[in-house]
Order: sequence, then structure tokens, then C-alpha cells
Amino acid sequence: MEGTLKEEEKHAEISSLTSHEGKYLTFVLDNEEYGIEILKVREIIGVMTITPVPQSPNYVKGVINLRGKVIPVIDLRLKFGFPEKEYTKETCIIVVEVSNSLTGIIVDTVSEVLDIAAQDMEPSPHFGEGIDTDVFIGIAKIKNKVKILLDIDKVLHLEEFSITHNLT
Amino acid sequence: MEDTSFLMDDPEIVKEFLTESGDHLEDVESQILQLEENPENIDIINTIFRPIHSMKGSAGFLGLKDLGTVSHELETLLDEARKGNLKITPQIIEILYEGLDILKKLRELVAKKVEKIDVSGELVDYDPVIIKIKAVLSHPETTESAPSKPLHLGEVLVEKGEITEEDLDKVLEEQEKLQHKKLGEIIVEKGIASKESVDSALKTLPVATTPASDTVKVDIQKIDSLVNLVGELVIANALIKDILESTTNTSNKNISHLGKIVKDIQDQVMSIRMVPIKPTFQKMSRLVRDVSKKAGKKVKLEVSGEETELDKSVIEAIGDPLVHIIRNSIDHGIEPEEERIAAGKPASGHVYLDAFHKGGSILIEIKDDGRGLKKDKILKKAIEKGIINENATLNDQQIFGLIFAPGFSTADKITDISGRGVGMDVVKKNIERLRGKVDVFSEEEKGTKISIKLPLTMAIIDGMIVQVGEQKYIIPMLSIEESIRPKKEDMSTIQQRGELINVRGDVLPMVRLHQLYNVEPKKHDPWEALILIVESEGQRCGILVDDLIGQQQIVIKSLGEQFRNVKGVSGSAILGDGRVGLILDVGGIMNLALN
Repeated sequence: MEGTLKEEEKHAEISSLTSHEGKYLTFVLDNEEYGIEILKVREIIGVMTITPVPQSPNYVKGVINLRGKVIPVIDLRLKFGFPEKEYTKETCIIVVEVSNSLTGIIVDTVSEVLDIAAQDMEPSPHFGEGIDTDVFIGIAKIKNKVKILLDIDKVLHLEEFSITHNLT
Repeated sequence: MEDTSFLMDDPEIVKEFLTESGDHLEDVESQILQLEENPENIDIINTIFRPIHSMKGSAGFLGLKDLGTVSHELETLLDEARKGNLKITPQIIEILYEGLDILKKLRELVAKKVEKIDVSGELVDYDPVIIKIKAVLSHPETTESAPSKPLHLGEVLVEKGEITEEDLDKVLEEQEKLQHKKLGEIIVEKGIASKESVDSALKTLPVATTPASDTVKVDIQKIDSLVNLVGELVIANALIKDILESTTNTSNKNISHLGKIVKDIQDQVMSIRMVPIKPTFQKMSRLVRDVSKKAGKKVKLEVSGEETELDKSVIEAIGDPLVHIIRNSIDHGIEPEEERIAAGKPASGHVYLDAFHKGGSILIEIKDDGRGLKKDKILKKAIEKGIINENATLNDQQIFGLIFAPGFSTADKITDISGRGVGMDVVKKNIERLRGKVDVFSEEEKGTKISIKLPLTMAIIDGMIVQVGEQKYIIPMLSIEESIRPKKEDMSTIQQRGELINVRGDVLPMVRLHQLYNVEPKKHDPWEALILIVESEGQRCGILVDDLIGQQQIVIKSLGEQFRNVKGVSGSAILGDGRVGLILDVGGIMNLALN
């Protein structure tokens, strides 16, 4: 019985994966490869001067001027708890649109656009505490390399970029 | 409840109908007010008839039965009136208002349905008004005069028997000689008829209506993005100018020419958002009418400066505060008729509403000739409510300012018009949200004037750009009193922590911006840096910055939802070098650093 239940569960997960089929923009963070759905990406720009906003968490680098629009920028390395790295020519800001507002995310470098089919995807394995698997759609294996597919809506979902600040 | 599910088949058409009918109803409202003043003017009846008629048509087309029925009945009533079969009495005016309100409510319901808001349970009962219309129509009180109206003042006077045909001929001859003189003036001068009879004859003449200017309806979002783009253009232009000026001088002339064009475009684009305050003022006329009736007082509203233009967002936000102030004026300010006569004032009270430009701001003044504010009464109340200390010494301005304190109400009895003790503090808050100011002037037994000062637009402020380390911040000029470089001996500390600065005898706390925002400053010592003396809600303090960069007009941009809890920052703006600068909120900084 238990076995069939697990099977069913897996089946359900796979069918949910088919709805995520499509083109992904892949990028590098440290030595890991990530992908986000291309439909969420508005544009990719180089790193520009960022105006820091006080009282925000460390991964919120501040705001930039995107042709007259002021949009927040977060550093994905810091958001995921990686060590900070100095920005280079390779460093990119991927501008994504989530619930009608634009946010820039800083990544080490952008790689390519990949077509990912459901059979290449797998539900993300569970790692126990410390890794929030909610933000992953799943993982994809392309030419023996693992790409982690991010649900960028969940990464940025209802993010409140200010922290309570104790000033005393 | 009629079935209106079909509305969703083509929401675009319904939305168009909603905007159109909204405009129509506003027109009708202001025209009914006019008609009340000139009940015999057929032209006004016609201008009410037309929009109602077209509303009936569209409602029929869209299958909105309720709207169709009510507008049909109103149309019939108006049709009888314009044919001269029905005299416009105060009773008819009342019915027209009632019908108008019902049309408004029905339109609201349709709007809600389109927005998919649940409206079950919200019923508009329009039967009473239809019964009233039918009753009036079955016993019409006809106009005495023939429906075809004479068009000239002379003819009206002859018809009324005020002057004879011969008199008229003589006067007309006279007018030809004198040119430019008005017929009525000559008649009065010659003593042929009294001024009053000429005036009353003038009232029956059709009012010359000013032709509406050609307009285009544009989605506000398109305008906003145009405003943004032009802002960018200005900045890009400034950047090019900087680069070229440092390299070559030959293109200077062309660049400055381009600069002028860009500035002109910006001004034009900014003016697109500006709309006249007239519709808002018209709503107030209706309000005065209804409230004074309810309060049983005779009040006349006099309006001027209706053409004054304000930013659309400001106009939308100023309506509620005006309603509160005017309600208060009528309810508390204007005395009952007997009291007024006893005080030697005209029996009916006056409320004046005025809007005008003054020194880069817009002023809206609400004045009444009522009993004025009683200082001792306000003080007593404020002490009772614990708003001020018993021994506090206040000047007149401060005393009047107390009426804006939360939980303050001096009315002896609470009425349903005003006097719930909320209201005036909301008024002040709303106006401050618009970056405006309210002032009260009052003289006992003479009246009260409330003056609202608003910036020309919400989108632009005058800002001072300051530098702290590598960062540039913008402080609104409105909050800055002065900038000083203190002497070493003007500085002192409290418990080695809190720093104070002595400004010509006033000792103010000092806030180090670099400490608050955690940036590395270039200058640590106040006597080498600069201190801005700022003010917010009556509190003053000094803000330590490295340097002032300059004053600039700033287009305000929101920082977005994610940063809404960041304190001390009210927004952002794009600076001349293309970077984003944060606009500081002085009140927030003081709360953060001092409280």
C-alpha cells in the first residue's frame, strides 16, 4: 500500500512539473547552476551604481535607476547565504517581473537559455533543515549537469525589505 | 434585483458607459444647481434633458433596466418642463435631485458589478421618486409665460410692462450713439425702469454658455509614463551637456537650444496632469445646499477661482477635507437666522470658497461670516481633554490649531452633520499627506477663514541635495529652515551621547545622518561639516551632513511596496548623474533618532 501511495505522490509531482516545461534562463552562483523561467525575465543588465537603502537586510543591495523606474536589487548570493563576492565585468543584474513589479537580482554570470522538457526535470529532493526547498520548482539534468530551477515568485514573494532596527 | 450577468460579456462597452454617464451626471448636478437659481431658463432645462436622454439610450442598449426606467421618467418630466407645460418649482428641483442621486447609486451598482464586487443585498429603491414624478405630471403647475422666450432684454421689459415700445426705441437709438454701453444701464440711467426690474428681466434671459474646449480622454497611465520618460530626457540632456561643456565650446549653443526645448516639453507634459478644480467646487455647492437644509439655516455659497488648475491626484484627495471644513462651517460657524439678525448680520449666512495661485503654491480658502472661533472655549475644552497643559501659554495661531487635534470637538451637541470630534484631525492629516499646510484665522462674531496651502503638483518637489560620504540624499526644501556651520563652542553633549547645538540661543538636538544610515562620512566634526536646521510638526532639530550640493526640482518616485516600512525615507528620485537618491522624511528621522 505504502509503495503505491508513494508512486501516486510521485506521479502527481511529475504532472505538476509538466506545467513548468519551457525555456529557462540559466545563470551561475558560485559553482552551482540555476535556472529561472524565461517568461519572468524582463532584461539583463550589467552592474551599475546601486543606492543603498537603510534599514534593509544585507542581501538587499538597494535601488537602481532602470530608465526612469526605481527598482530594488537583491544579491542572490547573500540571499542564499553564500559568501559575498566582489562584482566583476561578468556580474549581471537579471530584471524579473513578479506580481507586476520589477526586481533586479544579482548573479555571478548569466549562461544561456535552455529548453527544458518535463522528462528532464525531477522534483527537488528533500535535504532536511537548513535548505528551503519551497523556492525550487525542481532540478533538471541537462547533459549530465544539474541545474536548479528556481521559483522566482517564491524567492521574492511578499518580501519585506526592511528589518526592525534597534537603534539604541 | 435585475439579472445583469450579461454585463460581463463586453466589459469594455460597460466601462465606457460608466465613464460617460459619470461625466453626464456631474454635468446634470451642476445644471440643476443653476436651474434652481434660474427656474425659468429653458436652455438649462435643455442641458439637463440631453444627458439624461442619452443615458436612457445607452442604458436601454446595455439592458440596464433600472437605469433606463429612472432616466426615462426624469426625461418625461424634463420634456414637459421644456415644453412649458410644467413650471419648475422647488418641489420639482427636489425631485430632480432625488432622481439624480438614484441614477448615481444605480451607476455605482453597475460599476461594482463590472469590478466583480458582490452587490447582493444592495438595493436601490427608486419607486418613491417615480411615484412623485407621476404625481407631479398628473397635476402639472404650468408656466404662465409662453414657452417661446423673447431673446432681448428690451423685449422682456416691454412684455412685462416695465417700459413701453416707444421707450425702447428711444433707448435703442441712444445705445447706438453711445456704443459699448449696455442697454440695461441706459434704461436705469434714464430712469425708465428700476435697477431691480432690469435685473430680474436679465435673469430670465438665456445664459450664454461658454463653449467646451476640445478635449481628448487619455488613460492616466499613458500620461504617467510620458511624465517619466520626459524626466529621463531632461536628465539625459543634462548629462550630455556636462560632457560636451567640458570638452568643447562649439556645440554649446546647440546644446542650450536643445535644453530649452526639452524644458518646454517637460512643462507641457507636466501640465497635462493639471485639471481645473471646478468639478470639486461644484460638488461643494450641492453639499452646501443639502447640509444647510438639514441644519435649518440659510446659507449661500460663493465660489471663485474655479478655473485654478491642480494636479489630478491633488484634486482627488482634496474633496474630503473640503467637505469636512464646509460642513463644520455651516454646522458650527453660521448662526441660526434669528441669532444672525440679532447680531445685525444678513439673515442668510455666506460661505466663500476660493482657489488661487500664490508663490509657487495653490491656496484654497474657505471663509464664512459666522460666529467665529471662541478662544476661551477652545482652551477650556483642550485642557479638559488633556490636549494641553493648564499653564500653557499659546498664541492665537496655536489656539486655533487645537481644533485639528485628535479627539477635539467644541460643539455642545452632537449633530449628524458634524461634531463627532473626528474630522478636523483627519482633514489636517489628509492635507499633510499632500505635502500641504492648513492655517486657521478667526475673529469672534465676524467669521472664520481656513486656508489650505498645497504644492502645485504631487509629483515634483523642491529638494536640497546633500552629501554624506559617498551617498547623496534629498531633503525637501519645505522642511529646511537654514543651514549653518556651527562654531566649536556652540556644540555640547548630554551624557556623552546626545549632541546639542546652540542656534542663536535655541538649543536643538543634532542628528548625525551617517550614524543613522551607517555610512562613512568625510567629515566627523560639526564645525567642519554643515548642519541643516529642519522642522517637522513643530519639532526642530539639526541634521549633520558633509556638504550641500545644490537645490533642484525633483520628480518623486516611490520606492515600492517592499520598502514601505523603511523609516525616515519617503521616496526616491533620479539625480542629475543618473543615480538614485533617497528622499529623506524629516519627521521620520526625528522619530527614529530622538524618540
